[in-house]
Amino acid sequence: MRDFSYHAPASLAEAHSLLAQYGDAARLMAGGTALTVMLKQSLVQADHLVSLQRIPGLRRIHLQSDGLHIGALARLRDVETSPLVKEHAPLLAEVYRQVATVRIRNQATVGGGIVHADPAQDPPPALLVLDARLRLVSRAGQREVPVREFFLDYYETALRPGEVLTEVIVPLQTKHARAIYLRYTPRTQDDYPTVSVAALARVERGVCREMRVALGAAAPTALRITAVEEALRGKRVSQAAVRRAAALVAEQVSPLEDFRGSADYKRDMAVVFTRRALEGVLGLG
Amino acid sequence: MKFEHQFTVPAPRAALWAALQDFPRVASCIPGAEEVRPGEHGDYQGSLRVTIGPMGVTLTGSVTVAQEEAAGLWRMTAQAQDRKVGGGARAIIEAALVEVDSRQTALKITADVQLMGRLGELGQPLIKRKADAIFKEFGENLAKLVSS
Repeated sequence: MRDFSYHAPASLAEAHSLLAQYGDAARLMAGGTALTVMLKQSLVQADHLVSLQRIPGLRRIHLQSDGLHIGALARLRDVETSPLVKEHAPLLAEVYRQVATVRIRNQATVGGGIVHADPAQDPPPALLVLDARLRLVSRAGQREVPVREFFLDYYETALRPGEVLTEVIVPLQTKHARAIYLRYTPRTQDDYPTVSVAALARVERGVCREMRVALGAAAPTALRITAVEEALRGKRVSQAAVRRAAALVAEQVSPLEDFRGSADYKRDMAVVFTRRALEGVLGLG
Repeated sequence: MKFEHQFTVPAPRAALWAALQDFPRVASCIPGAEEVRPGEHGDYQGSLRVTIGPMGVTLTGSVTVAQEEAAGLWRMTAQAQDRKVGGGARAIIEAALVEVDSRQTALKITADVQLMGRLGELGQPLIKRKADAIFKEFGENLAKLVSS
């Protein structure tokens, strides 16, 4: 690992100045759990690390009229244990509880994980079904990007040079909707999932009124599976309808073979776990 | 790890064959290829920068080129290393020129790539996906080069 300078700006403006000054030679650092590994392996090279740790306010979790605002520097453990998250976005508390181990959850941050953009991470499918948005702040101003438009490819995102992800905005989970997250980890519990599924549904008098489904680890990015959603929305809930809808996943995913399984195996598991998630969220379990 | 890739170039077979003789110029069509120049033993030296999101490797090494004009076949043997990451790659790449019609030539590429050390740990499917993207862009750039 080569030497680098470590900067710990006390404000976002100062962080932006450092990014502008050092350009490609600088990397932002949040919790550092992923970045440190990549730096040690020399897969990422940086002359300047710009830590966001000292910038006030970035770890805050608070409620506003447009939803739950989770600061990018909030630890995964903060989200898991936050009473606000448990009340207004219980799916998220449940998902963050399942990430890796408690040691990692105490160090890794919400924003750091999102910009890392590993498609096998747990939170993105949940953020997708909750229609979360990301606030990206640069020197020139700020913009909100739906999570749905943020992930572009393996480890690649819509974040532009000089932009900092400052918070995640999560619309409140409606009380009448049920949500579920399933992760398939045949090796060890703290492993990345072989495939994962988040689903959110609202059923009225036996008819599916709302359905959102997203998968992780099954394509270059986590992704919403609109074909499944459309197949069930407005339809009477039944085992047959769920089976038909889950089967549609096979054509929507493009998993890569790795030590967790072949592409064909993962595609099959994507169908199986989507079916289980749909059954769970529609009350057919 | 084996690859197959095929694309069509808007040039007659003989013209494409002639263009391929200038190896450094052809190499400039490979995204990430840098400083490709003749070596001392009839080979070519150079480097290839490959990035996946924030991660990047720079493979530095040599390529030996052999040709069979009658068969319209190019065979390249490459070996390269990234000393910082601690890994390397060996590749045998064959390119066959097949006439589509008097104005177009198909380039059929087959490659057998071996990754060593930490590069191999990145995951071959991910590397393969990246390599497919590189071949695709190479084909587009080569088409532009010969039609310009």
